[in-house]
Amino acid sequence: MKSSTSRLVSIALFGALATVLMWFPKFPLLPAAPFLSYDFSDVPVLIGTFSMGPVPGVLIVIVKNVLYFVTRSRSGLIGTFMNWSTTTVLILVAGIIYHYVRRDRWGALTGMLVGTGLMAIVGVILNIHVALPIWGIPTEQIIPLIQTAVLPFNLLRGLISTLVTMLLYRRTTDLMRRHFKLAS
Amino acid sequence: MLRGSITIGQYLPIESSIHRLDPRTKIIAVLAYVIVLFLISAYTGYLVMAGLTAIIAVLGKIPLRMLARGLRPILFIIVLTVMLNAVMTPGELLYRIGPLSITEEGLLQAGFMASRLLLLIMTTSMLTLTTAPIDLTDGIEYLLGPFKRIGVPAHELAMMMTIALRFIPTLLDEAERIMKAQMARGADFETGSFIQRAKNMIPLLVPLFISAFRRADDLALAMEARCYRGGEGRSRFKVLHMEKLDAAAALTLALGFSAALMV
Repeated sequence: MKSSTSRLVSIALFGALATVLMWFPKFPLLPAAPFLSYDFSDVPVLIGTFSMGPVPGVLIVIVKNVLYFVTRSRSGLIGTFMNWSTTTVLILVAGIIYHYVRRDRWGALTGMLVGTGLMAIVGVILNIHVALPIWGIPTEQIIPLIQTAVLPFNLLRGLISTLVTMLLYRRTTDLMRRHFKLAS
Repeated sequence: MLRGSITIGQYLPIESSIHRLDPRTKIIAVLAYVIVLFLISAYTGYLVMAGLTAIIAVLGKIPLRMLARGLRPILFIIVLTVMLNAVMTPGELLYRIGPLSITEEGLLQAGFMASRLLLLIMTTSMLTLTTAPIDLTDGIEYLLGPFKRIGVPAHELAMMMTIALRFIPTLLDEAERIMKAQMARGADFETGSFIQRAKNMIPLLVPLFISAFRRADDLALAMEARCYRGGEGRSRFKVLHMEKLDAAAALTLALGFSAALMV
């Protein structure tokens, strides 16, 4: 790792990039649930996590969500909170596996896949116990909808981000190594 | 293409007493408002809260159109909530449409949930309508100050957010330029299957990442050349001060919140 200033600035820039990508035209993944839409903001967070570590990764997610909230919150506090918590799960798992278990392409892939699975599970739990009670949607009757919408949404979201990150990984690792002096 | 539909922030740059409030007052007020909203159990409480929201909107000179625009994205969820509550709550039968029965309790419950959601969204969006993003991040830094002792990097977080805010327009411009350049070479960002669209993003994302890396490096160098070394002992250009207006706002809200919880 280079100086702490370089690290601080890199986290800020990755956060800015993630926010910008969150503004891009979003596309709904599942026709049944138009309020769940995909954006590419997980990709810079993942690349940042792989190049700097899990803790900077968590900070990037915080920067991204706070900035998204203060600039153009779409679904307000609850949507921001759901996005923040699911993304944090994904990058923590991916970052820890990559940095402490296996630091190469396969470590990154495994980390992201395991992270996607956990993110989907956490997404369902948080939806049932946090988001739906706040939105005032009666929980018992809606569980089938969660199983058919939220679970596949988070799985698909994780898989697409994994795919794009893997495609980018090869093209950005050299650069990342030069910048952050990673041992490969 | 991107810039046209995107304004940086929802901030309405006008002069009003709500705009002049200290960002810390506004952040704490919104947090308290949200908590009170979830503690209320009677309709009359919501009337009081709606009154508070209306007062803030009028004092803040926020056009009704802006508030309504903030509600559009969650319209779907509100409609879903209302319908589910109306149909699913057991109680006295009012109407029957096929297999669905709408009950009196259901309608009351639906109205209750819808008003909570409407107030929640309108009030939180008023925070971002009346406070510039940079003031908000400043306020967050001050409010996180006491948590520094348990290891929360308050200054660093605020610094990151300020830097990120400053670079959002730059990165947007760059994204637009790269998109145009790639489209001129035949890239297609709008059609195709999902996987295809994801793959098509690569020629856009790679240059964007590289330029973000490069900018981060330049900026870090520039900051170190000017002897930046973290939050300790750093002076500020703009120091936040609480004023009489903030005390008045806090008093009004405290009275309003207790009234809402009592009735």
